[in-house]
Amino acid sequence: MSTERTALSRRHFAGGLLAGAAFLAAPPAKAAGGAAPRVAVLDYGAATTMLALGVEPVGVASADAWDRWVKTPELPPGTIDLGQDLAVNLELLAFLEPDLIVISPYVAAARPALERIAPVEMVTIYAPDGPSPLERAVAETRRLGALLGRTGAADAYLDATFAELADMRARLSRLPLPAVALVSFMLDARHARIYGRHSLYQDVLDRLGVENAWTGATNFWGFQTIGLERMASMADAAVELIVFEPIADEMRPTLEKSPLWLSLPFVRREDFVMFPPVLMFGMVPSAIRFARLLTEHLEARFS
Amino acid sequence: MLHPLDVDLTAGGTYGLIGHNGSGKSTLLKLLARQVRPTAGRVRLNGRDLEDWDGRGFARTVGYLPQEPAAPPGLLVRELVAYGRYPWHGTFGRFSDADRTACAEAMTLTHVDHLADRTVETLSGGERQRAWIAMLVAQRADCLLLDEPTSALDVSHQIEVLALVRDLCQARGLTALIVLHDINMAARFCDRLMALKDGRLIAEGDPAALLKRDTLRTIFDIGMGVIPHPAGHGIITYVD
Amino acid sequence: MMAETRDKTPAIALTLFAAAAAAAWLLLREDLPHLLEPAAGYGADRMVLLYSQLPRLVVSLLCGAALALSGAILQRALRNPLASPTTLGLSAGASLALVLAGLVAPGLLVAGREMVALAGSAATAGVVFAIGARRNFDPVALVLGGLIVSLYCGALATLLILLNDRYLVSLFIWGSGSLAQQDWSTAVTLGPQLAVLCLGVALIARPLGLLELGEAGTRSLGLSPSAVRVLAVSIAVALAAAVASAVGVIGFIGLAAPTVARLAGARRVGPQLVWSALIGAAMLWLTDTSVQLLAADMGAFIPTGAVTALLGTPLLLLVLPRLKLSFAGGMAVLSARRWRGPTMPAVAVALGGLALLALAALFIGRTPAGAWQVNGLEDWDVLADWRLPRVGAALAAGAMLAAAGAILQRLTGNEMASPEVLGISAGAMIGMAAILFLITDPAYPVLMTGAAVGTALVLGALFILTRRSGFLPERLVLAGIALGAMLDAFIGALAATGDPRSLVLLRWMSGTTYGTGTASALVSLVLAGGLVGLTVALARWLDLLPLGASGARGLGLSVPRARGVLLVLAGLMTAAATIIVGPLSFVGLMAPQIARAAGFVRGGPQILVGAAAGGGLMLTADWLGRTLLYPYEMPAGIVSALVGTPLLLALMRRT
Repeated sequence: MSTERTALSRRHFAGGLLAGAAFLAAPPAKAAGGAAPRVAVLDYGAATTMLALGVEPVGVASADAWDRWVKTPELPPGTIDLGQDLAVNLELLAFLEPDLIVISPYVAAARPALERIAPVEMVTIYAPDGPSPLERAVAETRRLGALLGRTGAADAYLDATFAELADMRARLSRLPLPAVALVSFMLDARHARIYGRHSLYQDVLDRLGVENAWTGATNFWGFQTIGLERMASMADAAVELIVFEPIADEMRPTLEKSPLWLSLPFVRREDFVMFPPVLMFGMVPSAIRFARLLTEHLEARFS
Repeated sequence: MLHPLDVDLTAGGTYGLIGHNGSGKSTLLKLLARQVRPTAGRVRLNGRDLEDWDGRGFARTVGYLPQEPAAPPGLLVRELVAYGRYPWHGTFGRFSDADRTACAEAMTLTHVDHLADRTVETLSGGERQRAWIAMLVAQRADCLLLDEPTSALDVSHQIEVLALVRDLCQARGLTALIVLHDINMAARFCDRLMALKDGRLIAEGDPAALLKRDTLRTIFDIGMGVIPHPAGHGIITYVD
Repeated sequence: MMAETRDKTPAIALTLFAAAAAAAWLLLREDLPHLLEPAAGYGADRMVLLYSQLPRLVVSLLCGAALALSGAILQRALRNPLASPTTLGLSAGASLALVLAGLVAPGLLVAGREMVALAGSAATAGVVFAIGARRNFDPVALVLGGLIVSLYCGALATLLILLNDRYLVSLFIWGSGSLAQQDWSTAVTLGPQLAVLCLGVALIARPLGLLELGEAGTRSLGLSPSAVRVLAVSIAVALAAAVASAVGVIGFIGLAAPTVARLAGARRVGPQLVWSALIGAAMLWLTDTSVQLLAADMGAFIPTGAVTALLGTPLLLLVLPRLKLSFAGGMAVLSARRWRGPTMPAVAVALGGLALLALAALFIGRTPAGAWQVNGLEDWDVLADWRLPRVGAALAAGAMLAAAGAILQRLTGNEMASPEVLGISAGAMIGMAAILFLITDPAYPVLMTGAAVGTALVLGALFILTRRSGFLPERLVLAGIALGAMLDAFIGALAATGDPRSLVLLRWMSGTTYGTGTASALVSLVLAGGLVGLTVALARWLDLLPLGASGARGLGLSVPRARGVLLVLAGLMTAAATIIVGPLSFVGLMAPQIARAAGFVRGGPQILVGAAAGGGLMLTADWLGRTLLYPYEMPAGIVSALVGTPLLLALMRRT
């Protein structure tokens, strides 16, 4: 019954991959000094940070949806998709034999199972109190750098990033800027997520010296779900509206018909812009990506 | 529902319980069967208060057939009859040879041997009642309480069931208390009758003594007469 | 009851309207003067009032009235005090249809949302009535069928959301019914639709009243009861679908308003329909305005539909004792066929089949590159580490759910009863949810404790609620349903706020053997063996209880004690299984019925064969979930529902 009886073994797996993905052709020797450790990542934010530090993860959870949510930096083509982040394929993960698994509190329920495969490190960006997301992200970037033997790279990356942020702040400070409202229509055409306090975006706005038009309450993750009509309450002052992708196709026609939407001052003035996806729950790479997009846009419009 | 009443049932023979709708026949039967608890007063069995009997011990002495007994679909007659042994073997006890013998005997006595492997829902009305009575017989109770066992049956099946109960009482020395609507059937098959009205026991005695014009008027509030059965089987009542 | 009871409906309706108006004034008092302003220029507040607040008010009135009317018609037409768009699954059916259309053919939604919703509602109504017809439209059986179809639709939608990740979160808002409006389009579409349907209602009102005479009585008056019924139900379905397509699922108004109208004394059909509609409109208006006031205070987003569902649960529990439920004891004739051969060999064959299935699930899998393969013993250490615990846990959970389901079905004499319906699974989930939100990074044992506490609380509540009636089966089942609905509402509201933790909850709810370790699998198996064994030992109780309370008592069984013990046993098994596979599996519903349909009628064999079927179903579901979309995993609980339901329907058709 088993003409093609293939053993599910590590050796075979390495061979199987050779056929499909070339990057593992010479799997780095484990724990050999200086060689990059094999890391499986269950969190997009941590994965972007690792890429920024020059470490390519062996596998990333939900890799197939990377482009929808993260876009930049791009995922190296050979990265293994581990399955959905809340339920990564443990059998597959065991075969990858990682040296380290990086998770976030969001997927912490799987921690005991993951620990049977490799040591687990948790990267915490969002917590009920304490430092803001960006501050935590900076600290976690240094910690990851140390863990991966990339302390120098981490320091250099952070220095460069903050130098760039400071530069952008200086450039923006010369412009007459309105407040910005940051929303995404992930729900439907009648409701928006608006980002405010405790969000990564807010931290970036603070660094850049840009005012956030939404000063209302936000949840644990730094956003609030609001009906479209509440956006009207921000409409008196000059506000630049930024809408993040992804946005569902069926919402566009509905939005374009809505009198309330159409009568919002920033819509009437066409003071709104679509941004490509920026991971809202990301780390430093997402922050700098948002900062660059925002600065570029504001400079183009207001100088 | 019931006014205070004092009834003594002595062992042996068939008792018929008659009366108009809502006279308390079924309630009395349910009290005796421990299906409902008396709000006041006492019911005793063999001199012991019913409250003091344990469930299975009581069921070994008194068998009760509800008015509309329900059998789950797919149940075989022999399985139904075997349920009658629960009071003897209990929850965890083995189904012993004694249990097997009692079931076989009960099925023979009630003439349901040939139905043993039929499912209950495929039986005719009369056969079904016989199967239930077989279960009561397997239960080896000395006293059977039957709540309108003939209400849904045609005449020939009514006779079949009542004759069976009477024969069982005679053959095994059992006592049966039967709630009946049809006075002529009651007169024909019961040794003694008890008449209830508005929750009171208003008459008791053997059919010939009890079924008199004036007594019948008291029981049913309409004029009724009595004539002897043409073939000599007791008496027949008729409405004026 | 009392003929001279005064009709209190006008007073109640008036009070509700007054309360709603007062709340609305609180909400709008600062904005109302804007109406008098000249239209020139842009005033944010004025725009909000004109294009958001006022349409929202109108839509809430329209939807409340339509749902209440739909419920009142259904209750009349089916002579069932528990009928409503929610309890018959009409809303859930519309919801699933829209989700499916959104994924498969989004063009359909642009062309005709209403038609899609209507098709969904009509299809669920068809299924529910097909189930109900088998029980002569027994009220409890019909509602059970409706809620099970609701659960099934919900499970499918959940799976779609899980597989499409965060993208479909919008479905939650819709699924939990938000009345937020940005223009008059909803009101303008809904208004004429409802007007036409109301015309239809007026035409059938009189025949509807005659239905009260019963089947024969109606026919003797020269009216075809089934024609009236079909017509009335069609209108009710259309009303529910119209609302669902406009604003989503608004739970329980359709049950609450007609119930209030009836209890307040509206007996004749005309007043009952009119007052139900008015009370429904006032109820939804009041709820929605209160939700807005609250939300403004808390700065949070709360979908109105979830709130009505949360409020509806206690109401259902409150009304239960006042409803006269006709309950035909005994099991429905699902199958008169039965296995005639010797029982034990047949049971052995069933268990042997299960063992084969377990071996297949253990040894057939995918290579990391994705190809199918049969593993040899040389891979044993990998299989033992990652596959064996899941096979074991799935087997244990399936067997326990099956045994619990068999107990409940025999206890209630209702083939639609199951642990999923009892609400115990819901209790475990609520406990775990509470832990998740109280502790940032809960450890697994802590979560387990939460589940156990939740289970114990629900079990205790069920015990107290139903003890006085001697654990009367229909009370038990309905109380369980109410608790389950509350969980749904809670999760829905949570998910609609967009909190990412709700996805974690969703994963649990969908039921997965994911991450099961050897130790916990062993514990589950031991528990399953012990508890299922105990159930088999108590098989004689399970045999006697279907004879009805009086029959069982006549044989010397202490009915309340037997019911109590069996209930605790079913509760324990459900809790132990829920921790593994979540509350949505349906194995507890299907496995005992599969055993029955195969001809195993008596308690002992039914439980053994049912447990084998349940274990087999669950481990097959787990295997499919692990392998089909590799490396992505589908939760075993939901896959079992998807696999098992067609199987069950096929079995039911055959008999």
